[in-house]
Amino acid sequence: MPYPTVSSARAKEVLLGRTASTDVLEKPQGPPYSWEEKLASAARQLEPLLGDVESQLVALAPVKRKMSEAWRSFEVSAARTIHDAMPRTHEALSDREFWTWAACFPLRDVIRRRYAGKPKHAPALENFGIGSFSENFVYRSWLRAEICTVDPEDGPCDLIERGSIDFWRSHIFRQRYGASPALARAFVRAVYPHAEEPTKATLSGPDIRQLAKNIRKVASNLLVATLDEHAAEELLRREMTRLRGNDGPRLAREGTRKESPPRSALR
Amino acid sequence: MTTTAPLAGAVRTEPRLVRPFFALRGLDEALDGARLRLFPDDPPADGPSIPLPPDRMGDVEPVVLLPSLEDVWQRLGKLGLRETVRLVVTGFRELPRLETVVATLPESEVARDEIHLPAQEVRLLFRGRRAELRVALCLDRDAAAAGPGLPRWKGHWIASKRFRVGTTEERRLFDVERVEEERWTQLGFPRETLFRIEKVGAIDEEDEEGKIAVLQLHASVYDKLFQRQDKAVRAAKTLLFEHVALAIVDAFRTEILESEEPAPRSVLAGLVDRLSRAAGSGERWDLERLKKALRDDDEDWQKLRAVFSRISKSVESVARGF
Repeated sequence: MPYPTVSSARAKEVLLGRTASTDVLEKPQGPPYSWEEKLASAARQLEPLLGDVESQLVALAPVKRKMSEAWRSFEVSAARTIHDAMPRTHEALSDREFWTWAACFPLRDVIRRRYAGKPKHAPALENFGIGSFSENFVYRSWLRAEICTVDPEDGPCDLIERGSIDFWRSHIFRQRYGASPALARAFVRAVYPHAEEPTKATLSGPDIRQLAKNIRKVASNLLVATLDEHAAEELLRREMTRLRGNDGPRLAREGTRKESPPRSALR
Repeated sequence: MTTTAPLAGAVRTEPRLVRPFFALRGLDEALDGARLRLFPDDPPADGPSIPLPPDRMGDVEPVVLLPSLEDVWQRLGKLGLRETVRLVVTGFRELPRLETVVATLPESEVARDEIHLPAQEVRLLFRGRRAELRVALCLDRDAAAAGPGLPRWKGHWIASKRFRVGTTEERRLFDVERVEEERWTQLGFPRETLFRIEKVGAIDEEDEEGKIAVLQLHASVYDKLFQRQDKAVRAAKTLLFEHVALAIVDAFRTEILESEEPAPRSVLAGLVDRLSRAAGSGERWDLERLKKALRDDDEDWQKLRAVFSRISKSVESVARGF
């Protein structure tokens, strides 16, 4: 039974309005699944949540929109909703062009509204997975929920609520160790240990980056896939102790000093 | 019209990891002779790369063939690790990302010549264009009493070998697109623009398999460069590709400056590696130096241009196929 796909090049033409065609390529692998119906339903479920966030933010300056807790909370809901709309396993999930289709067709308006910035400013194509696949909003939402799913029958656990969007992007999705769900969960728990304060990190931004770097180094001598939940927690406990023991944690203040923009390298 | 200009030799290197387990004394090479057979009628492959087209990935019947490990187990016994070590096979799937255990075998089951892996599990990991199987001897539990220079935590590996299975086509980093005059205007550029870099991929993403950029080239220049083969044109192509390579790096300046460490097997990792190899003795290039050149160091920027000039000759030689 076919599943829908679209190439990055074609998706870009569609998103930039260079073509009015909505033709997609169907690939004939995997069992039947109601892709359009399920994802359209997910989009409909997310629309009122988008409306709620937009009405909360209407009074805020554009720069604050990015940092808003409301968007973080929305992304958690999006992760759950999108994960719920996908099958547990299917060949389509291993096809980049499927995820591109999901972002550029059934969930396009969700992504547009999520990343609507200044008037007439189109959301970055990366959010549709064009230019950087890992930024595909649909894929990373699904992945966040998938990592937090220990038992498929129960769905994602409360870890899905924890951590900022940037934390998940930089320290889980972009890291090889993030491919081990147990280790990824342990990392999230180590940095955001309190369920009742899901965005309160125990480490400063620089210390989180250092912890990620340390885990990468440790992981080079470790088969991370062999770590169960307990072993992964122990690993994080050792590394947190080591981090605290070296220089002590820096003041727990998120964010870094912004670098001056580099002058153009074209000379 | 689009054509493809492969950037010559995105050569993969396999650096030897410097490990803290000095007491293993060569045991880390114990699995170097392991081989992987993917189909009953195929010969076993040494790896690390095993080409396989996407339409066969889902049919594999993988079998690991091990070298004799009798001596290895004895040596592990002398180190006090024999009881805690297992032969483990893990699999890595790029999309959706997952690294998971495929098989765990105690010593008693490893004596067989062939280790048949669970085909269904491996096939689930082999969805997509590339996947990885890894065979390792590793600790099954913590060995906190292990002496200095020995592995001590669950998951620490003593010996390991990876097999990267799937598409191994040469990395093509950018397409070349011929752009007519009117199109420049539509794109918001002045008429007679010589070239433009359009970003379409990620420079610092692990195993990024797609093209990262499109070189949009003015139609008149494109026609002259790719329809003639004389010396003057070849020299012009070399110069152009030097500019293009720098322009691509400049287009990805933000991503490069934000990178703390190039993602494994990313274009950026390959670029840094190529810079190191092309720079010549006494000149060391790494990510930090590349960043410095991009930020504000004129001298390093000039040296970067010079190194790209050396690299672009190989680009030109491959693009000669036009």
